[in-house]
Amino acid sequence: MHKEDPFIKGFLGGEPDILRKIYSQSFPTVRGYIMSRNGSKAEAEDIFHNALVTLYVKLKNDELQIQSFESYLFTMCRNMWRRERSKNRVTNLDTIPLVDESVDMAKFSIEQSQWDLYQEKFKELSENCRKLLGMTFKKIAYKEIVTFFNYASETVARQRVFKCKSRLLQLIKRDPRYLRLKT
Amino acid sequence: MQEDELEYQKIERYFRGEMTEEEHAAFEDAMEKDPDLKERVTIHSTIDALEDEEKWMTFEGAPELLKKEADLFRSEDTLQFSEKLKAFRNQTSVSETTSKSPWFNKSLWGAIAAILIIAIFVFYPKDPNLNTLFEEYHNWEDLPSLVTKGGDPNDPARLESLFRSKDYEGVIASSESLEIAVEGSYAQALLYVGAAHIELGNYRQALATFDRLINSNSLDAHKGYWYKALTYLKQENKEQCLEVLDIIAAEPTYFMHEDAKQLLKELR
Repeated sequence: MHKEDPFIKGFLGGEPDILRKIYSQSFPTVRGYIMSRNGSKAEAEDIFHNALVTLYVKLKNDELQIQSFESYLFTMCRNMWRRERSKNRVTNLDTIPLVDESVDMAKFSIEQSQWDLYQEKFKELSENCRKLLGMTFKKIAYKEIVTFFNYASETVARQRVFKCKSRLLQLIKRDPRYLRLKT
Repeated sequence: MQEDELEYQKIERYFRGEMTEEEHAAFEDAMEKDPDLKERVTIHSTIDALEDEEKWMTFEGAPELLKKEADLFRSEDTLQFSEKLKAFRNQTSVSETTSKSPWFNKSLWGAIAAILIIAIFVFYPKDPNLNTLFEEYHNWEDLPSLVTKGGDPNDPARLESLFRSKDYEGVIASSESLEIAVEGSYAQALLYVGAAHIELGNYRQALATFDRLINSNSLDAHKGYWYKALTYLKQENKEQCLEVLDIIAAEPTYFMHEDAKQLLKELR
């Protein structure tokens, strides 16, 4: 989907019909996701609003090509919520600095672009590597990984994980966007 | 073993907190002196955080890029778009305006919402289909069978047998004398208490009982959502019912996930 797509055009123009469609199709899922993780409806509304603004900036400035508006919006909301939660966990309430909201949203926007890049590169790995890393992401014990892949030992499994991660690291670093996002 | 594999093992031990204090300090010192090592460590930790619900990678450095990006968020057209969204939200979901955001004039909206709520109760015809759907979707046979604890005066299985014999008053009376601790089969017993309240038409108490389960640490806490949705359905409170069903629909592992999705389709 690009800027000339009628749906995207309508979204960028803030057309009420398009906004109504977005709110009725996507907001309930986002609210369900956030409320099932102890968030409130008000927090869900704020996350949804900020995700739409971030999406506006990304699409408007040609930073993004997306396949599905709905699923990309949900991913963004989910990541924004993860970010909020991890911020709350490490920040003491007394020491929260007053951050300019545009700077905070800009930070998230860059982090989301990094996440997109990592995901894209992850998909370029072999199926075996994707499965193996997928299991380590889910924190499945090496003992189970050994049985699943029929490896000779845990040492072999750890070496394979290392190889897959190193490959992913190479793919990420080689992409010109990595450098652009870093500097 | 190759040098980079040794380094990887160090990185893993660093993140798992398995290094001694001296090793930890030395490793941080090495990262400080070698930006390439620091970068590799960052990428490794970011890869690990990709799908981790508990973690998120934060952005550090690159002040130029950050400034450029922040300017896009401060630009006139972005602010205008944000205002359009706020206006749209205010217009379309007055009864749902509970946001902490500053653009709400809370007292005004509060008054409008109150008038609307009264109007809905007075003038809004109840949807007759909701009760039919309740009859279709509720099945007390789905309530988990409670394991009896012989000799335990707080045996939760007592509630199940009272419920099965349709002695709903008895279930509630017994639940008050049984000190139902919210764990194990005691947590599941709350489902019988809530269901008994529904049968007796005490919807407020039913909702409070299911909330108690939802807010517990029990592995069965999520089951409370389904019965809460059923309570709202029985009450013919469509809005609240949809809200709870959305929670179940967003979580494939939750009790009655598929039924919740189906019911959502029928209600929307």
